[in-house]
Amino acid sequence: MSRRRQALLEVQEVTKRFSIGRRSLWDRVARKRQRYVRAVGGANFAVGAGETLVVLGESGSGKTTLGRLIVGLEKADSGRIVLSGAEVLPVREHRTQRGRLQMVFQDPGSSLDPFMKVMDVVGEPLTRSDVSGGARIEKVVQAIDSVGLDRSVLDRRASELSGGQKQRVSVARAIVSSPEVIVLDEPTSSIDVSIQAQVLNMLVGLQQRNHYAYVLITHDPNVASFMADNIAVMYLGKIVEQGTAAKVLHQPKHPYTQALLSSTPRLHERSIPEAIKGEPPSLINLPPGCPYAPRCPYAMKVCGEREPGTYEIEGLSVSCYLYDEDVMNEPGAAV
Amino acid sequence: MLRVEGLTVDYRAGGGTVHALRDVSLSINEGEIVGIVGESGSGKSTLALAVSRLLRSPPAIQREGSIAFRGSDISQMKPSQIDRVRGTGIFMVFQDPFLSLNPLMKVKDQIAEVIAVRMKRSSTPFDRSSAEGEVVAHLKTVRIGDAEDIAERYPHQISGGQIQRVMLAMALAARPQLLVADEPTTALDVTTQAQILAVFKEIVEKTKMGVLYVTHDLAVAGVICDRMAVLYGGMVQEAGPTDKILFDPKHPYTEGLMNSIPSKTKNEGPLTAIKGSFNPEGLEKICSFAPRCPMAREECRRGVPAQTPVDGRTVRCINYGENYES
Amino acid sequence: MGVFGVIRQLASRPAPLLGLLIVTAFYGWSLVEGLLQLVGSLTHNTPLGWVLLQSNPFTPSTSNSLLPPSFSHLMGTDDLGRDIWTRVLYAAPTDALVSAVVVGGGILVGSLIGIPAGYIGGAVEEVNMRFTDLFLAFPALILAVAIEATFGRQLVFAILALIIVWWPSYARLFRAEALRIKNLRFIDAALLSGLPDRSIMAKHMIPSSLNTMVSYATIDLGNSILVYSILCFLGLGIPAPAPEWGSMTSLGLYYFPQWWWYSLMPGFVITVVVIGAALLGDGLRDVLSGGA
Repeated sequence: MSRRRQALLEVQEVTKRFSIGRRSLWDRVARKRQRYVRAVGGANFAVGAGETLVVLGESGSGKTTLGRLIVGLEKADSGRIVLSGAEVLPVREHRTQRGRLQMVFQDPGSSLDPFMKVMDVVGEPLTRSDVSGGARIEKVVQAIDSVGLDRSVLDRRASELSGGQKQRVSVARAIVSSPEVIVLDEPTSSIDVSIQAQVLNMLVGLQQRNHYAYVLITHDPNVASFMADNIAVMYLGKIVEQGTAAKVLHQPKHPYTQALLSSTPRLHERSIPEAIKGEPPSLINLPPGCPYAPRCPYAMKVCGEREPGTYEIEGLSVSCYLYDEDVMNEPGAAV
Repeated sequence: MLRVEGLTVDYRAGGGTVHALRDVSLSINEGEIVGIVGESGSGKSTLALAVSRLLRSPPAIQREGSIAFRGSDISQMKPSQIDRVRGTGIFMVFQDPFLSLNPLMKVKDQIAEVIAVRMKRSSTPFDRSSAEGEVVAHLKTVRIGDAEDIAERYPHQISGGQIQRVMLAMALAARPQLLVADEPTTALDVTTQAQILAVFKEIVEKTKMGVLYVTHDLAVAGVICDRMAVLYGGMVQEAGPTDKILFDPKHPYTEGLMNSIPSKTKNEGPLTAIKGSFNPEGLEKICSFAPRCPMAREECRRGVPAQTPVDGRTVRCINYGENYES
Repeated sequence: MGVFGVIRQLASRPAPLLGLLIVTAFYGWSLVEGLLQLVGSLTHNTPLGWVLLQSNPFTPSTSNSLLPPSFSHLMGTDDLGRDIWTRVLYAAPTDALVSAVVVGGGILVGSLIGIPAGYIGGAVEEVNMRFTDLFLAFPALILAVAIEATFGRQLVFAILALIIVWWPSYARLFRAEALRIKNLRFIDAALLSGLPDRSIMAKHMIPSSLNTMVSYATIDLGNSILVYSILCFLGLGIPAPAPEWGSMTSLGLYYFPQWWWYSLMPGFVITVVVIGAALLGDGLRDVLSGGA
């Protein structure tokens, strides 16, 4: 974690929940409780310039919502997102000068307006800036060059491109306004493995030249192992473990991280990976306590009662009672 | 039990012809899991659909080859004959769990339906209560939590992972000889996938059915398949025992695919990516991988390489012998 | 895909090809003939309107009254001896104009009301859609009668009446489209680029929704001709002696069935154009969504 330098991006105790279902007049009269999905609960981390933080989690972990909160597409219910000391405001309410935070989305199909020319797609972030016509075209061309696309795509419509090309255009659009932070939400999940490697190489190269801070969201530990400087593991809206990539991947402390890594099939392994039992529970109205407790082989009584805090151990931040000295030293702690 | 020989399938689409499969041959025996690994455009889904006789024709046209199931060529059978093969002969599990089940029927009724078909084909009378008992037994075998409860639910009330398990329970109920699985775990989380893979292995051991497992994920194929075939551009590029291919890949595409899976950190240098992307144009008379191959030579464009036996598997590559398809 | 690509795909199958030919012939002819009539009336040179036709559509000729179809009179003659085919051709631009303006007006008003309703939602959506519901309830014919009774029987009022009853369906369509599009990722990207809502609606919502709507609008051209013809049939169109398909069909009924051509021929032409528009619209839907 970059504690030594002033972090470029800081996420401070960010929480977001979504209400589900519309409450009719009758519901209000009958005092039915509004149901909520807690998408993100108390996220805390920092990313420095030129660094990549990988948010590793499966579907339903809240990772996409976290990404959207960082760039301002969603408004946090509590906590702050801070970029170079200034708070990031939600984009729907504050449409002014954007461009310092950009996002690359997961689905190449809906990332680009199919009826627009690539030239206009990539130039869109510059429409509200002071960059004029000629200079704008130059920046667009530069962006297309740096993502490894041929300039001939500029005149084509977005719908005519392949999935890999669309993702590159998406990245070009993200870098054209010279952002400081780029959030990449599963940028390679919808494209072929052989193209994925090209795109990952390109992303690394861009970061080395331009010092972007990347927040890369993925469910794939292989992508994480290649791209990450630091990793934050998410489960059901909570960051359960974070630290340097090497520590999280090779010496994970949280039971979920351990289970996630061991269930990922590894090339050259011939045996079925071990599976965690059970299914993730519904995000709606979560029960109290640690969200992973129902599936955790080490669950103790206290795990079902209160959510654990965050404990620092051997360079990792882990949210698990196994590392809470008070709990572990109590006689008869384990269930 | 299943023997595909020289299967060639074209698609007529938008004014042109796409050569989806060319000269594909493979075989599956009882109790074997055979993997088909390929990316988009490789023809792997076409192959899965062809074997299950679910290809729409037109626009798909089978130009050559045969698909022999238990000795008879099902590719030439009429729809009425195929109906009798489906279910108890060949069963299929698809990629998108939410499209696999009838949203208006309870889970137990859908599995019971399969049992009824099986009973009818073996001329055994169908008894509802014993069928329902069998349904719950199968749901337990596939390790679905709360089997009785799930049986009473509708598909929209259960998760994707549970639906795939229900499909496997259906497979157990149908007792097919061949199961065709088209990317059954791609839409699922890694943790759920691990559970489903374990169930797969168990039911294959128990029932000795043959499985054609189609996937884009080499690691998954490595974990579950006894033998595999790597598909590119509609052709089998390398095929043989999984051990051989995974630990000693011979075809440049197979190697490239493995190198594309990140296994190191960025600080150790860039990934060895395969250059370019798949373009089906102009590949009719040359090695389909030549435009992207790091080991391409002049000879690669003289003709379509033939499958050459090398070290216990077959490779379609000039670098292992200048054999061309006639 | 490009306009030429679309046309080629349409031309590749018989039904859409037929629709394309009919619609092109109808609007193409109407454009030419309509311009001649317009220039003619502006320059007080009305004969310009029938310079391309075999005869003056207004000149009666009692000796030729009620002749059956033949080589010299393709559709026969009416009670005043006027060639019906000539009158049909002369009247075509009216229907073409009505259909284009009504559907165009419907799309214009519908988009202005429907897109903000779908994209902005909330109070805007409520107000706009309830307003739309209000107009959806208006019966076209009664409204047309009321307007023409108040303001007189002129083409512009008939068109106005039709636009008023036409736009609500488009408002609903545009709202549905806006709801669909606003969840696509490129809208997020536009927000991140700092685009204000009106730019997002204009730059992104309109092109995507128009694409979805093109086939519906094409079929609607036929529908509007049908409704307008019915208005005229009921006597609400432009007064005689101006020829109009619906009126001709109506007048011709007095001479049915002995002089069947008087009523059936104009009616047949209406039917052909409406079916042509439907075939073309259907074909467009297939080409723009599936086949592509």
